[in-house]
Amino acid sequence: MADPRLLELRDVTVTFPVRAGPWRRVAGQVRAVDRVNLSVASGESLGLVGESGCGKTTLAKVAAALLKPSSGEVWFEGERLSAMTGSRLRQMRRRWQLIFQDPANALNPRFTVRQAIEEPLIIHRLDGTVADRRNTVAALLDKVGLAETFADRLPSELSGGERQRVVIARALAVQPRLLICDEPIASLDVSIGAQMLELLRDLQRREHLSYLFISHDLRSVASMAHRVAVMYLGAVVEVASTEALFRVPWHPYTELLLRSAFQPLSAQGVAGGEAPSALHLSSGCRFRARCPLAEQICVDQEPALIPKNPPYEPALRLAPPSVGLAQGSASPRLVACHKRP
Amino acid sequence: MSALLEIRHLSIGYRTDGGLLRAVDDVSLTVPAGQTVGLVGESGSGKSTLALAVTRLLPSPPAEMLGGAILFEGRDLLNATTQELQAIRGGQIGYVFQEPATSLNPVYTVGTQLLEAIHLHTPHRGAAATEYAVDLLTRVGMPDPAQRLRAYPHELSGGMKQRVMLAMAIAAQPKLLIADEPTTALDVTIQVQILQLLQRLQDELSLSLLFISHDWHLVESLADSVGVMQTGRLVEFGPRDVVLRQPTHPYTRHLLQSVPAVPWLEGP
Ligand SMILES: Nc1ncnc2c1ncn2[C@@H]1O[C@H](COP(=O)(O)OP(=O)(O)OP(=O)(O)O)[C@@H](O)[C@H]1O
Ligand SMILES: Nc1ncnc2c1ncn2[C@@H]1O[C@H](COP(=O)(O)OP(=O)(O)OP(=O)(O)O)[C@@H](O)[C@H]1O
Ligand code: SF4
Ligand SMILES: [Mg+2]
Ligand SMILES: [Mg+2]
Repeated sequence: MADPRLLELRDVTVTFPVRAGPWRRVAGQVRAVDRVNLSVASGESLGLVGESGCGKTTLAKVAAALLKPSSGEVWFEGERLSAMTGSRLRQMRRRWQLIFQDPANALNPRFTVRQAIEEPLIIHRLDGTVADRRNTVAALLDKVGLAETFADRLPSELSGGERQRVVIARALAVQPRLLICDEPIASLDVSIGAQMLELLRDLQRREHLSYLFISHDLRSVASMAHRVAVMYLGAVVEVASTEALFRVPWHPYTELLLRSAFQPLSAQGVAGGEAPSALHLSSGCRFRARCPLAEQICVDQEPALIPKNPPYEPALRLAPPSVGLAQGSASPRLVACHKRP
Repeated sequence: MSALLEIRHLSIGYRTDGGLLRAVDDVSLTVPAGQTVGLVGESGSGKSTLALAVTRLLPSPPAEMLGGAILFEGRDLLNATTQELQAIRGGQIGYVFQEPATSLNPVYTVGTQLLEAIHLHTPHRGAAATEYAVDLLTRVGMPDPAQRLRAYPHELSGGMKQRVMLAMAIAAQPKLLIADEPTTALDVTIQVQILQLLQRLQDELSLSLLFISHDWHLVESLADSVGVMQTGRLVEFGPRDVVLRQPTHPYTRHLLQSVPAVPWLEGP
C-alpha cells in the first residue's frame, strides 16, 4: 500500500530573530519550533495541544506552506513542498486549507460574506456561473449553520462566532483534503461548537478529510482527534492515541495539562515559577524548571525528541474518534522524557 | 451588598439594511461590588454588544440605544458626558476585548501601547512607568516581560496578545473589569494562572468582574452568579450553583448538555 501519510513534517525547525534595544537590533534567535516530526494520515485527525506560545500556530503555518521552515522538510502526498515549482505549489494549495486562530484577521473587512466565500472559488477557478456560485455559497453557509441572509453582511456586522463560521465555510469551498484548524471553535458557544465539531467529523466520514486540529480545549480535542501530539516550548514531547493519552498521560507536562483542565480551580496548586520562555531554553530537558520529577540527568541531558518516521502507523479505523478505535489498536506512544521513556 | 454596576431593562439595536436588529432585548442584571458575574450564551446573542455598551463603546450608527439604564456606582452612564466616559474607560472600568489581535495596534510595540495606558490612567512616569509595565506583564504570566515590551503584536502568539490586553486592562486598577472571553486563546495551565491572578486582584482591590465565556468549567470556577443569554434576552440569571445544578430555562440545560464528554476521564 502507498504511504498513508498525507502530511509529513520531518525535523522541522523554525527560528525567528529576537530584537532588543532601542533600535531593535537582532539580539538572538527564538526557536519557535524545534526539530518536530509529525504526520497526518489520510482520513485521520491529529490533535495538537500545548502551552500558549509553544509554537502551534507557527507549525500550522509551516504545514500550510505559508511559512518556510528554517530547516527540515514538509511533504504532502509524497511530494516535498520545497521541491515544488511555483505553479505546482499553487495547484496544490487548494488541497489544504488553514482556519486561522483569529477570525477577525482572517476576513477582509471590505468583503461581504458572499465575496469572502467566493474568493477562493474564483482563485482556484471553481466558480462556474453566477447562479452556481450563489448556490454554492448558500450551501456552504447552510453547512455551517448560517442563513443565506448573512451573505450580504460585512464582517463588522457579525458576532465573533458568526465570523468564525464564515471562515470555516470559506475553507470548505475548495474541497480540501486537509484542514488545518487553529482554535476553530474557541469563539463559539458550546452548543454551536459541538455542532461544528459534529460537522467536521461528518465531513471526515463522508469525504475522508484529514485534520490537524489545534486547540486549548482538551474536551474538543478528545472528541475530534485519533491521535494527539503535545508540544512544549517548540518541541513535541508526547504523541499517543487519544485514549491512551487521556487515560494515562506519560509526559509530566501532559499530566499537568490534564490536571489543569479537569480539576476545579480550588484543587490546583498555586501556579508558581517563571513563565516558560523559548528565548532562554535551559540546558537539558525544556520542562525541567516546572517538572516535579526532575533529577540530575534532566539537567545534564536533553531527552531524545520524537524521532523521524516513527515506527508506528496511525491507529486509524475511521470510526468516530471518541467511540471505536480505542480497544487494542492503540499505537505505541512516544515520549520525550528521561523518566517515562 | 451594594451594586457596582446595575443594568436596567437595557435594549440595544443595530440598524441594518434589513431593518432594526434587536441585539440586546430588555436585559437587567447586577454586578455587586467585589463579585464576579459570568455571562454565557449563544454565539450572536448580544453578549459583546452588552459589554461594549456599558461605557458606550458601540459606534452609533449602526448601534442604537433603545432604552433602559446603565448605573455605575449609581450614576447613569447613558447620560454621562464624553469626558466622564473617557475617564471611566480604562480607568474605573477596564476591558479585555474578545479579539486581542484587533484591539492591539499593529504598528506600535507592546511597550508603547501599555505605557500609553499607564500614562493615561496612573501617576507612574518615566522609569517608574516602565517598571510598572514590566511588573504588569509579569503578573499576567508573560515570559521575558522586559524583552516583550519591544515586540510588535505580530511577533507574539495569540495567548501572549491576550495577556498584553489583560495587563492593559488592569493597569489602572479598575473597580470593574469587563472581560470578553479573556482566556479562550490561552492554554489551560496559563488559564489557571490568570484565574488565580484575577482572584487575587479581586481580594486585593475588591475588583468586580463581568466576564463572558463559553467555558462552563471557567464559569464554575470563577463566577458568583451566572447569566445566560439567547437571541438578545437574558433567559436565566441567578447564583452559580442554582444555574449550574438546577437550571430552569431549557436553553441553559441544552448548553450544559452540549459540553463534549471525555469518556475516559470524568472525575479526576
Ligand atoms: N513573526 C514572529 N517574529 C518573532 N517571534 C515570533 C513570530 N511569530 C511567532 N513568534 C514567537 O514564536 C513563538 C511561538 O508562537 P506561536 O504563535 O506559534 O505560538 P502558539 O503555540 O500558537 O501560541 P498560542 O496558543 O498562544 O496561540 C512565540 O514565542 C512567539 O512570540
Ligand atoms: N455592527 C453591527 N451591525 C449589525 N449587526 C451587528 C453588528 N454587530 C453585531 N451585530 C449582530 O448583533 C448580534 C449580537 O452580536 P454580539 O457580538 O453582541 O454577539 P455575542 O453574544 O458576543 O456573540 P459571540 O459569542 O459569537 O461573540 C449578532 O447577531 C450580530 O450579527
Ligand atoms: S526529562 Fe526530567 S525534567 Fe524532563 S519531563 Fe522528564 S522527568 Fe521531567
Ligand atoms: Mg496560536
Ligand atoms: Mg462576542
